[in-house]
Amino acid sequence: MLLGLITSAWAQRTVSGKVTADGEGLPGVAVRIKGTSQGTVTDMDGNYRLEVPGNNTVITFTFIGYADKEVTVGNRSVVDVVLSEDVETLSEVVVTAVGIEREQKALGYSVGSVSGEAISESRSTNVVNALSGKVAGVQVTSSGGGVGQGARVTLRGARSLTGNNEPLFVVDGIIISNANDGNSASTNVTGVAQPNRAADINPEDIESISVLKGPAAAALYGIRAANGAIIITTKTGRGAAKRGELDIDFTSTYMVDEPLRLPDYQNTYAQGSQDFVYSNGTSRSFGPRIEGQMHTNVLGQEVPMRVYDPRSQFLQTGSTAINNLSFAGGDEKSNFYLSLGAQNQESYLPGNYFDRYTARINAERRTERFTAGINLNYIHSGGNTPFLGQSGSNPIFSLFHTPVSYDLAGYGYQREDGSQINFRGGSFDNPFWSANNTYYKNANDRVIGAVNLGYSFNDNLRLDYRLNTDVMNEESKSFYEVGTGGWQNGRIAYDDLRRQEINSDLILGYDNNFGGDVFSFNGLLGWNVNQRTYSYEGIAGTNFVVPGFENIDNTSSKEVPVETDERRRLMGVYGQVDLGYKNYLFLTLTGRNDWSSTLPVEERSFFYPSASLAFAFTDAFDFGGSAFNFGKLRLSAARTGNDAAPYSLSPLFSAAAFSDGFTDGIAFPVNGVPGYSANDILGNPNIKPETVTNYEAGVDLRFLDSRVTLDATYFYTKSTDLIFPVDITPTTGYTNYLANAGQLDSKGLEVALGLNPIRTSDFRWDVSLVWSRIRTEVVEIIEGVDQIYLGGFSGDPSIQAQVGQRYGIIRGTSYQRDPNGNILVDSDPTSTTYGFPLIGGTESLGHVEPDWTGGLRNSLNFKGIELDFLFDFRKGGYIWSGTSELLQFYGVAAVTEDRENPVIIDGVKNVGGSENPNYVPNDIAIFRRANYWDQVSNITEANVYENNWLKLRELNLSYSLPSSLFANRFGFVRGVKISLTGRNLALWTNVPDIDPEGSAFGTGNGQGASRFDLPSSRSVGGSIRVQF
Amino acid sequence: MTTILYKRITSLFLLLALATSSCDDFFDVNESPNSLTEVPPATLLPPIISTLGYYAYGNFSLYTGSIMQYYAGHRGQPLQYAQLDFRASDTDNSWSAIYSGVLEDAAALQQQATVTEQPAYVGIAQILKANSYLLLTDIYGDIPFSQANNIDEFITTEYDAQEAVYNGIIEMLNNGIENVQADDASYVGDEDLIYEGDMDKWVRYANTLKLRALNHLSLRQPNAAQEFLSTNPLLMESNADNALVPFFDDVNQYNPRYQFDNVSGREDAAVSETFVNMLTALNDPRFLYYFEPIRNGDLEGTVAGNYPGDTQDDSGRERFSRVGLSLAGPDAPAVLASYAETQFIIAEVMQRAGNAAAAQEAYENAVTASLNYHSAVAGGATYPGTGVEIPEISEDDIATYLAQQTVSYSAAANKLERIMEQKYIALYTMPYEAWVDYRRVGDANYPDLVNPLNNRTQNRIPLRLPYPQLEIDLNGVNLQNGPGIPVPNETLVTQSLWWDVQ
Repeated sequence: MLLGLITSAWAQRTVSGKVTADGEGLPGVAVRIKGTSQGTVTDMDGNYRLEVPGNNTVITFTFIGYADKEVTVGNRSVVDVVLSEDVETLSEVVVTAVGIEREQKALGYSVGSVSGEAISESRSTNVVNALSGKVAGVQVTSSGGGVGQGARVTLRGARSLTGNNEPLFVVDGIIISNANDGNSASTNVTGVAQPNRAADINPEDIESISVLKGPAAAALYGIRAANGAIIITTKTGRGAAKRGELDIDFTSTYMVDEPLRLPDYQNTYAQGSQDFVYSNGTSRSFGPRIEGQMHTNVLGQEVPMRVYDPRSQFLQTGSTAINNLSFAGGDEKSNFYLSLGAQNQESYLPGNYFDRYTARINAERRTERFTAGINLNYIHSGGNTPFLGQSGSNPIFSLFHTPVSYDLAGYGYQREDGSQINFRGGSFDNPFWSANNTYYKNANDRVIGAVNLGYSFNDNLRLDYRLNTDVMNEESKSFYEVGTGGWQNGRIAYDDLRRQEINSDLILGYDNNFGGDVFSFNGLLGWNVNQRTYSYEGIAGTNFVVPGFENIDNTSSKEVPVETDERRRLMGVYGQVDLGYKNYLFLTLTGRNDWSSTLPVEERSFFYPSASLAFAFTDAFDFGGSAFNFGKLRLSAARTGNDAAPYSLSPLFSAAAFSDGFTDGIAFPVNGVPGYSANDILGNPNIKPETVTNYEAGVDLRFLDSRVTLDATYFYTKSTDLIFPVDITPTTGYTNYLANAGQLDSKGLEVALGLNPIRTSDFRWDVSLVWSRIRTEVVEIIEGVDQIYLGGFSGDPSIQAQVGQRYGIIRGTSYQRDPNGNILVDSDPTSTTYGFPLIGGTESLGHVEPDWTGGLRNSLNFKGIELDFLFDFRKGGYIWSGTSELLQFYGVAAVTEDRENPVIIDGVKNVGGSENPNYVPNDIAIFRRANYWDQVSNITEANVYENNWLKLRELNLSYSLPSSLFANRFGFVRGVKISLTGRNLALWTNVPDIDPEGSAFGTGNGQGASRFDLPSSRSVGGSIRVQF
Repeated sequence: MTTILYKRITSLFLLLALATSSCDDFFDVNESPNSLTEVPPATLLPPIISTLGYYAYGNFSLYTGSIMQYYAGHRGQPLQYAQLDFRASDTDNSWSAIYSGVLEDAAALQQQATVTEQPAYVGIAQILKANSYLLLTDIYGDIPFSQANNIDEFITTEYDAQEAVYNGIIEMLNNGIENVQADDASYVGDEDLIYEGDMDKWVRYANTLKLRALNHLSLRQPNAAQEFLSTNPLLMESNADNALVPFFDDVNQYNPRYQFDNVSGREDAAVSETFVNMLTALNDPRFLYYFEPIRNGDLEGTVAGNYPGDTQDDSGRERFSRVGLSLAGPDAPAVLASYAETQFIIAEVMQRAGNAAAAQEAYENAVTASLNYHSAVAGGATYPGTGVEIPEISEDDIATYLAQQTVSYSAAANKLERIMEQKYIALYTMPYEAWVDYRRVGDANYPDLVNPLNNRTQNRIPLRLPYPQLEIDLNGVNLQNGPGIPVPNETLVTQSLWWDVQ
């Protein structure tokens, strides 16, 4: 017995040692006695001391990002250990909902990660654009190339018929607004280029982005999670703090911008509306051949006719300059990150610019039990942004159809008496007039801030509280000088907009391991309170009195001022339970109950559960081996939903105002007499929340020592009880009524494939391919209703959701065809359209959703040289190019060049009557002149194209100077990196004239139509990064 | 210690959960600050009047005025209409404005006024509804009537046969006349933009509408109008009784024609050459009231019209005149019904009945009234830009005009045609009525219309407009079961309306 005592006394002893990695001591490594909860943590230098019971004790060393190590103590008293980087067995950490960090291995649903470096190197001015092509299932559509113009992002297709389909944006746990004001409600045909507000985040501040693709991932956000969430984490300075250093980082980028693609023009024929006859003032170019003949120009001068290039006369080279300075540092108890950023963009459209200035401070201080932190981000942005779409002040509209016989720069844009000089009349202005005599100036101030407090009761129990706010104030002023096409008497307008969101989260968390390390338990309980407000005031005046005085006092007529206010409140209680079994099987259960102010009292509360399972079967069955070194199966099911917009419950009357599509109409009060009118949308006092149910299954596989990685996910989402304003016949007295109806089914496959063909100490080559295929089908709308309007022109074409079809169908006029589908041509010799294709009825011309999309990224790294390039591609779905249609009608498009050779349209003609049709091949020779293109431009189908494209989205060539260069005299310099960079460099597509990624309707649901969108920008430049 | 802690935490959360569910006040923020759930009847009336006047005088006049060749636009939609190219989606907005705007607000007014026991408002609502339905049915034919504007019961509406619509309109007018006289109507004030509370005039207006409707049935019920006249109804007796919708010279209050031609910047409208030639030949005193002299270029100061369907661009206002100040000034009123029109109808009815004396008297009253009306609106006004002044029309001018061979009743070989010709000229203010007359009276007794260039209907004048695309898409089943889905470029010239017996 004494021997036993002596033995055990002997056994209980101290072991110490140092844990290193890459030759440096690693602090924070967990050193534990296997099978117990006893252990310690390495200090700043990587040293540890541990009491162990005996020689047979096995000590485990674990640290995030490194492979675990187990060592039997034996009779040693010093045990040094070297840890090596974990070869992607998914021990890396991602940020999930509500800011919780989880190991990717434990997740039962698909999460896409993008590193801050990848975002920064994309040199995109808008963080949403920077995501394009990097994560499977993410579809980014840029609205256009205007400076500051927004981009639309959807994860896994559409879930709501007419509501918001964009995901939640969360920055450091703060839900921020991604509104796109200025394009009001997504179905507007005019507007101004305005960013989606997530673009306010400075890409340089971003540490990482987690894309929570579906409701399962975002379930803890309840109602707001139906479309998934994009979780952005900004830099904290922890890295520098751990090293006990102050990191200073300075980056400067300069790029020149030009339109990526301009339409193809004919350079032969002059202005004129009647074939081969010259005339001034017409919008069309069907005049005579330009052969130096004398003619009277718009200024009344007799000059010879010449070919000009109005496009290059007007467009200039734009530029983007991005400068960023950041500081990061701290000590073992605190860390901070401070950054200042400036982004200045000048557009390729003269006079337009957009600037963004940001300042950020993230700071955190920890004591043994208590943590306090602050995130504060101030953004000031604004500029003079272009008018869009079908507005006469959209310079691209008139620029694109300026006849080549018109000397745009030479003739000037304003006469001495102040009136406008233009090649055409109507409400479309000379582009130089738009640039010099109209503007839309805006200034936006935004503060996003959070205070985080945390208290650890003990090693297992922790209470966190976060209070955050996102406050934005925007003031804009638009001005049109007297003589502007759409505003002959001038107009000045002020718009003031305020958005505010306040959010409070109280979270109680508990983690522990049970049964040794067999079971792990992570649980949390949270309480969320949220309020969002919006207010808008607008005032405008017309009829300027004194020329040149841009103030509303200078107008003799004031329009009726507008005021709109909105407020909504939400409260939620949520909980999550994570159970792990032997670190290879994980079960996560969540539940959230929300109460929303926008729903009626009886329907106010609703509960959303989710469950997900992750099974790392290679670890479970010990497959091992490097050929197939890791495999995980994931399954999840979740239910979330959506509430209604504020004030949807009752029928309402508002101050009467109407316009008829041609004119501005009447707005009450008129002559001092007030007037109210019933709103055209009937509210519904019995509205219920929408329900979105999502099922997902996937695998994550690693082969050949993780040199080959494959993540694949299949998902199915069903959205029911969708809230939308159903279109009804206006003979009911209303144009829409709000209802719960309809079902959207979305199915898809996402694949992310990674390859690391070469990995030596000097050279590394990585390839990453993401691919996704999503099908969203409109299963049902409401009884008696087969389609609803999503956006577009109210006539032709319109974008609709039709039962039994994919979400988003282009509806417009079609060719008339015979029963075999051949194009029918006018066979009446007395008709003015003899031999031309006939105009048919309104039909569905194609779905908008792509068949598949993806991105291919190559990264080559040789010593200090890095070459990175990203291809972005899309196949399938259709787009209507209204730009092509109008350019053909105007006679400026290159396809209209051939006017003097007879052609025979490929089709058939009817030589029988209407009773007994007899279709024979068409043999009528025609000339394609003014009347022909007039006819064809009335057939929407003629310019609907399959929307396929391939883009070279990003190209970066950079060189990191070797540290030996400044080791001696400039020892304080940590690194210098010089890069050449390019964005949107090349486009290959079958769609003519335009970059098919644009959209005429902002970031709303009515996609698939493009008409004089601002061409996207190609940017080329360089940047330098210096780290101290 | 820990158990107590856990207990404390649990109770804290329970408290929070309780607080959450009982905080109904917290959620009580869903009442819109931007709109109202109830409004006083007086505030519902002005938009009904304004919307009806705007669309009747604006878009509906644009469509029908292009058919009847008062207008001949040179580009864009005005050109399209001049070429008789009417597509289903063209009238979506106008159809919707009448049903979901005018008729819905009128239904709300009727309902509110019944509750507040103000029958004058009920009557006014009925009269305005009748006017709207008459306008719609004469353009489209069968229309939703009995099931319209009743969303609680009908989410799609059946189409009523035109005959039933006409019966309904007559009944509505009779009820309206009764209701506006039910009490002293002292509560109706200047929210009544047409008559400012003078119920006597509302009765006259309603009777004029009734006379108009019955006269439309001249092919179906040839004696209906005459029988009505023999009951000696209270009709309009002077221009002071005209049903005019006022507009004002201020932004978002202007006359619709002014907005289209001058504010929108479209610059694509023009008056028609055939109409200009007609007035030139007659030496009509309304010439400068009807047509604005050309503003720029070589033809400055003169008047010229475009040939219907011709595509010569005139965005610089150098070639063609636009509509004149009497109808398109910034504050020129819209005419819903007029004394002149009443007299023309009486003249036609008397002419058919063989009462030449009565016909002549009515005819001369009508022409005089029209000339006086325009002189009052824009006599002495000056056109901006050219500075041309519109000469006032004196009594002597009227007498001279009526005595002309080309205008005088007695000198006319075809008296009916003479009446219809002068009515056509006067109805420049109501082209949709001129279109009814043309279809009803036929080529022989009506001024000639030319074949527009590049027309889409093989030289046939439309007999109706196609049903709106909104109806095809959202009420298709009822449309199919009723008048049928229109075939583009075909139905509008082949399918005549019920009262238009072929």
